[in-house]
Amino acid sequence: MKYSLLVLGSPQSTPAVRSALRFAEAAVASGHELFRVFFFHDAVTTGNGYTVTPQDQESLPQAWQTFGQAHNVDMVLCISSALRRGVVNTRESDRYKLQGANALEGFDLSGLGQWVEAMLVSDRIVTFGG
Amino acid sequence: MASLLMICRKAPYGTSYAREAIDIALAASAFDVDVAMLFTDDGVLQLVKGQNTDNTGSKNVESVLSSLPLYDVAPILVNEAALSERHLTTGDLNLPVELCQPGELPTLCAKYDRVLTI
Repeated sequence: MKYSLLVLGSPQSTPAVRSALRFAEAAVASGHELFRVFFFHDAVTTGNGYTVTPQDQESLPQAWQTFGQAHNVDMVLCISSALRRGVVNTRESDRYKLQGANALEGFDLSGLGQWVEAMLVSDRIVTFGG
Repeated sequence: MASLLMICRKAPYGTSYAREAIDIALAASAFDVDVAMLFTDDGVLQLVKGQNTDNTGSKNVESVLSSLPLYDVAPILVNEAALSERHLTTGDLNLPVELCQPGELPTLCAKYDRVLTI
């Protein structure tokens, strides 16, 4: 079955991003296809490469990046949510003349149309957080 | 044409969830999806007329919600139980809505290709 995930909650203060990762791992392990993971609202900070996680805790940005690269998952950060929260790639950093770029490799910044498309082509959509 | 039922459960202010749900509804409508919205729980507070955010710095959701019919978002459904629990009636709302009962929600959800709750 083809799944897409909408992740809303902050990786620091809610379990949404971790729950979504566990679900994604289980879905892929069970032979399902993950069409797209769309990070929206506070969840876009999962793509912030400047996040430093205490050593005794799982780093969710790294864990998602590793999972995404291992399984070739399309991971999208909502561009308007990301810009408001200071998560930018080099393209947006140049456009707004910011000091640097912090979006992790493996995460794309794009618009809500990506989520609308994911809703239309997937058999199941699952929301985490909110 | 694919259809989407957007279920809005969040209060209009305090978090940006209400705004974000409206953004998804408008984006889906722009992609030719047949969008309906259901307001329930604290989400019914988004529809209350006469909202004033001058002193809060928040963006007022009332004007964008009242423009939903212009974007062909219809019907606008409201869970009557959620309204009455908050001592509200349709007269307190800023746009025409269709009332539904909690018991009708499963049938309602089944009518749409996709259901998204925020």
